[in-house]
Amino acid sequence: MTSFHPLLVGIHPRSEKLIKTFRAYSRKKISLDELNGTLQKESREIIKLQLDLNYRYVIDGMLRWHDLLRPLAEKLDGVEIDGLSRWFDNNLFYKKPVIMDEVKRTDEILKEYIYPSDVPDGRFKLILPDPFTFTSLSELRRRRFDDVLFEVSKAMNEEIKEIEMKIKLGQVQLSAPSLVWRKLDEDSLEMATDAIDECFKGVSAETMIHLPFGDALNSFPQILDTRVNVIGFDMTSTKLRELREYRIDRGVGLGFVDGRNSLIEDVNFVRRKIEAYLESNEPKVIYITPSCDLEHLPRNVADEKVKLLKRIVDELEEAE
Amino acid sequence: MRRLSELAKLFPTQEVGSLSKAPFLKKITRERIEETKRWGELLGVEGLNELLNLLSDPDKAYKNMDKLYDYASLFAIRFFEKAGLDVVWDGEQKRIEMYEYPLNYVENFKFLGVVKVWDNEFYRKGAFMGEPKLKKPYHLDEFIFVKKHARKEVKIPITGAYTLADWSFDEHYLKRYLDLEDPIKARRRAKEDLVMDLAKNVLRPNILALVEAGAKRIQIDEPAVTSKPEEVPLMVEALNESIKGINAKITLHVCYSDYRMLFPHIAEARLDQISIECANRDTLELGLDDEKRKGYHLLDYFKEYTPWLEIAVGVIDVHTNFIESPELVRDRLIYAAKRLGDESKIVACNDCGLRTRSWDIAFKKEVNLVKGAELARELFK
Repeated sequence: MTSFHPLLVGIHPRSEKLIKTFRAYSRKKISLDELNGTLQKESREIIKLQLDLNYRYVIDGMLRWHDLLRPLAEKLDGVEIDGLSRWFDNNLFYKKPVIMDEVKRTDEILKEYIYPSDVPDGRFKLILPDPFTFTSLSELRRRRFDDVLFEVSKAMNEEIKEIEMKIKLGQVQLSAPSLVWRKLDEDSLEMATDAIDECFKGVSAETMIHLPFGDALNSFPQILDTRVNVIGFDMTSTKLRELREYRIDRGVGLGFVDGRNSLIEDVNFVRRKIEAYLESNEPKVIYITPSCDLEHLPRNVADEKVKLLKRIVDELEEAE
Repeated sequence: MRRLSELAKLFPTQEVGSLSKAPFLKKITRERIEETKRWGELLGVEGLNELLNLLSDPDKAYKNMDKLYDYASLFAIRFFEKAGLDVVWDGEQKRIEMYEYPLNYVENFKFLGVVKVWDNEFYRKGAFMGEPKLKKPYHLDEFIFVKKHARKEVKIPITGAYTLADWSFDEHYLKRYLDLEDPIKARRRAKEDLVMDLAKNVLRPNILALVEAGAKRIQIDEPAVTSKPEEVPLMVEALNESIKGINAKITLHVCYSDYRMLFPHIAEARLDQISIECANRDTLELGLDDEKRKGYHLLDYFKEYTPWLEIAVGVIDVHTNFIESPELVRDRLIYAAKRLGDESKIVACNDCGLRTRSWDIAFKKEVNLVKGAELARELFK
């Protein structure tokens, strides 16, 4: 018997009010306390939206994150930040981390970036880039790729475990677009999956790897060797018929709801796709997710998609 | 006849499009009125006293925004002319930016809200809800104004069909293909339909209206094209559809891209000229050796695949306040000519629009662009 849950997988868009608040802060018209106050309030709204819809795991919207790599790039020793680079094939840009020296975690990374206090115990969802994606999107100055990869994995593992000492996390997700964006060679994929396992070593929360912006099969079969509890797929870039051919012995996230287009999907259209998946697989849990972060959408559309995920779950439960 | 002879010379000079807004388009302050006066006198802008009189009463000025925009356009035309450029535009003084402005003139398009571009920079993004149709030609009044006042050749920039589609949502075409098994193919086919409808229904009638009003040079901006390399052929097809039957010199502007992605498909585009960014990837040292002029190595691709095309090479970096010396401009042009193997095909240009630079910096850069082209020309005499 499969259970269904709605689940978010990345950065949520800022409201126009928050955008103005960030601008006022950068122009020194308001204090850091005032910015933090607005961030806290707006994170609370996103948390409440999910709690009201009975999401099992809840994100805080990651509203302070300018991009997925930024907290690590800002806080890790040995890393500096360079100019803008394109975020895969999106009209969205991130600041490229530059690896100058050995990468080490000497202080807490996410303390100023997460707002878990309004989420009930055991339901907060933490999201980070997977170490391979972080490393391959960085500029390596005179450093070996594999050295940096495992230094980053170790630092991330330390960070997750330290957070777990303070908060009972519900789920920890690594977002790994670089594993599916293009087909990697076998050695790279094996190295990437080793790094994921290193990252999750000793972590108590449910673990998830999410694969946006590409065909999930680009990461197969190696990704199935990771010890994560859930694998999430971008079903706007993956053929359902091909995915169904693999027996996946754990939870899956199915992203039929497009995180990059404003069209609100028809609930029954998505339900039929999920049912088609269930004809050949019967995972214990299916998370109904967007294909990627919702930050590619205006805030009102993103919120509408948060509600849509729940409607799809309701429809699936009713059909069962 | 003077204009024709000017353009027949080697290394003609032109800009790309934008210039930061004229001082009086921002909040009117005493300092900005002074700045307006300074620039107006330097550029010899006609009607300056009338403008200053208007600005002396800000409430009255704000009620006459159309007049202020006309003056801004005039200031920018004179700005480029005074710097000595051969081909000019009005620095897009009347445009908000390159995406939102044209889509205000498109039926079945709806703005939905803001989305992030980077950090805390956002743009207002919308969706196509049906087949796009042109409500009325845009840029036409703008062009007629510039043509009336410009003393040099005019080139009008216009955002291409591919970029308008790529930066938008699609709530119409995708529905046609939802039954396809392959979601990537579904998205691709929907996008092909959208891009080609935009080219046919929006870009082409708009360009036609501009040409009928006297436009001789059209620059199509496609900054999105290399973000999805597999869609370069679609951009080329749309560009050809957009200019079908159009009698004008066509430039394609693409910047901050991996230009290798354009090849070989770009050879199929019915273009006269391509405008590219090079200075940003070059060194600041003088000289003609390969190491110093690394920003221009990419001309090898144009030499191999499109030797008939004029290349408007960026010799001015628009993202720094560094003022390129005339000698640096000269060396970049000479090297570009050498690398392409045909000096008659090199046009001296900026990397992109100057909207992020102050007028003081931009003016110095443009003056040296012209001086550098003159130095390069001397060497070929």
